[in-house]
Amino acid sequence: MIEQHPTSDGPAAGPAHTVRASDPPYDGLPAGRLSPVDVAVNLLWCVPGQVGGSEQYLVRQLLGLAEVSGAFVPRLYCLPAFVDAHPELAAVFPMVPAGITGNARPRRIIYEHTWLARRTRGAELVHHGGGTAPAFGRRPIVLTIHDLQHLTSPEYLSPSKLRYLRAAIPRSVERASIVAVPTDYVRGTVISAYGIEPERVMVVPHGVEPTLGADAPAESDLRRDYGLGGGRVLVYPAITHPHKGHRFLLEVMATHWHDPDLRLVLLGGAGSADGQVEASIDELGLRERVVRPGRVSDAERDGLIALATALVFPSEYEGFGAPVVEAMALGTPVISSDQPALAEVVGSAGIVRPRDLDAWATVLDDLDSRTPELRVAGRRRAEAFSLRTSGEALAAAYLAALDIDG
Amino acid sequence: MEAAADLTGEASIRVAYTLEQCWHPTPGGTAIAALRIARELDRIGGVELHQVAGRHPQAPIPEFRPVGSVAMLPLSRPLLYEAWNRLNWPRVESVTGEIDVAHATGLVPCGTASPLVVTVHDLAFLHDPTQFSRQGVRTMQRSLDTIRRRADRVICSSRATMIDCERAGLDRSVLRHVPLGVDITDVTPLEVERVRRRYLLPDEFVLFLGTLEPRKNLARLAEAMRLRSSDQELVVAGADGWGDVGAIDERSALFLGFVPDADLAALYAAASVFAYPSEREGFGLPVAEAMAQGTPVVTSAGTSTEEVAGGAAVLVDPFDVADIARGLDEAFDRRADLSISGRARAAELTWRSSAERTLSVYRELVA
Repeated sequence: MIEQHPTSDGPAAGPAHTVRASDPPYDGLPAGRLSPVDVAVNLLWCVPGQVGGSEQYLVRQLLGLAEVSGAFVPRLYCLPAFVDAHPELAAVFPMVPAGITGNARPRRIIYEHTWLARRTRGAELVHHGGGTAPAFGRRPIVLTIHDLQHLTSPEYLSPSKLRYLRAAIPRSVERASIVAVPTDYVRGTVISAYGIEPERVMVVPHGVEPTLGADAPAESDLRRDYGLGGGRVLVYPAITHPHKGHRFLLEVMATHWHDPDLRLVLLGGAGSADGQVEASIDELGLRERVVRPGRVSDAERDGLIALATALVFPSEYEGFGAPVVEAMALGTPVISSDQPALAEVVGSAGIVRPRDLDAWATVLDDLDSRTPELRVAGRRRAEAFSLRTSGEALAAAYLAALDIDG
Repeated sequence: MEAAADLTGEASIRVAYTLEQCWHPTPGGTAIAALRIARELDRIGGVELHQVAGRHPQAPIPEFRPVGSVAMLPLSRPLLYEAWNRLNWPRVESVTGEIDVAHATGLVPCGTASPLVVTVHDLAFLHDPTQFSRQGVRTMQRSLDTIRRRADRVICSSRATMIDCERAGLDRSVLRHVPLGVDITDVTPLEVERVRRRYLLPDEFVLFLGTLEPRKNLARLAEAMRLRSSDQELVVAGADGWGDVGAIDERSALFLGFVPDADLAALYAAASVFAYPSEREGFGLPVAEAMAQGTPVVTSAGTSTEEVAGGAAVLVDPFDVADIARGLDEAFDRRADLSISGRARAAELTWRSSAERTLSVYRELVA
């Protein structure tokens, strides 16, 4: 259901909602409604593969929405590359690709104020998925805020990005009817930072795909292809941003994890700390034991996490930490830092330790004795983060936004 | 952990010391208390500690892992607890050899033919059985019956619990008071700053911490905050988040959700006042932890938290909203002196002194 990029301005997108007696009533439609609500979803910020976990977060909550409710018909305004990257979404919702690549922030912002604003004029609700909303345009707005890293850990962001977020987020929050966040932790910080009424901040948890791991190659193939040998494997899937704690992990490995057969697999694209990570591997003499495939296909990624002894997540800042849930769903034990969102998501179903070399020194021994129990606990914990729960929470956020402004 | 005869030349007291609760799904305070007291008993000397538990395929998680070896009895829970209560079997002596005292550190009396000491932290299940699983209540009820029949000494962590025990039919002459200790963590200003930023905390705030359940009295605390003229915020830390609160209007507090242990000490330190107006507590460790950080405390009169506070906190009637409000105002007014007296009080609550009192209970039984 991909709509061609219109060459002229044309009419604003979105069907007219005249209520006809012949329209069958949908279950779960807002009170007094006979037809689905026309929602515009702004995904122009979402450059596939470059925005970390927030891409999956939005994709999966929308897939979940399609599964639980016919009450909303989201039209997804996105980059051309996003259409190609997500055929599963294109199969359920109409997509409108924009004429930009999304790699330049100023250009994207101008586009949101012109191209997007024109096209969403007729929508009943606009969902801005990337933490900011344009200064004007259609309301009511549901605004997804992934994290408030620019306030809680500003040292990791570039000055220009910081300036932009500091100005744009408060203004966006003010214009939004509902702010959707991934965890209680982020919710608390949003309420605290912007003094917003608590009922306007709703948690929409991550959804994990039920088919996760189904297409994964065989373990023996993966071990051969990635040179993992026959020993224990730890996987850390994260772009090499400075706050992800790659350096810490490498230090723990060099100081405490001496097993020569142990392999650490670092997945994910290159961030601003990539050079440091490379240098650390050499400096700490870990070249033999660290495998760096970078970005791999979803199927291989699932397979690598599934075969791993544990998924490690030493990050210093997260709004949610989706890979942790994926690992739990695949029955792979999780070892994470005690950052509040991670501690909240992992709960007692994994090993949560402060980021401290000594605290991490013994985690592999703990893991050995607790693996069977953690596999069971993890699978159970992951059930709280299904596509359905995520979609239901998104539908509730849309309904609340209509209630407040509609 | 077998200490030889102590320096005075007296023979060591041989004690079988149960640590089964370290393997509970959520071990909590009763496990920490048993482990810390074992550590201090070992340092003091004069006791030969034989640690005992049921059968387990693996060690407990690190925070609750005993130091030294733990002898395993041939049964595992829940059968172990049933058998101990109903049959006074398996006896701890079967794995420890001859002993002078058996000390069951977690309510359920162990099987033994030696003098028996049982530690009771609280009898909350008698007051509100709905907070516990039916199986749990049955085990606790049966344990209480066994204690009545077989225990030579019962150690209570607060006077409030001693009174509860007496009401439950235990003989006053067997009850002994052994207060718990507090682990004092030094927090740097930098650490406080980090935690302030991590949760985007307001400059001035009243902190409440704990699982959100009715007896913790959060609803009246929130009401009291509204009565006050000042505009300090109430910040609520604790698992289960805002969703389960029900009783309290969400607008009346900032909910942090789950807060990892590593952030707790700095969170206490960042707070202007710590409010803990529980209707009932077995001990009230958070009160001691807040005092250890020099944070002024407002807590309830007439329950164990009053004892823990030891005169270094503002006491209020937990059922009277106006009185809680008054207490909060008083705490703000007396910040400087409460901070000093609180730290001094917390310093008295050492595991060393808990262990010394425990040891004197053992001595009563071998004399």
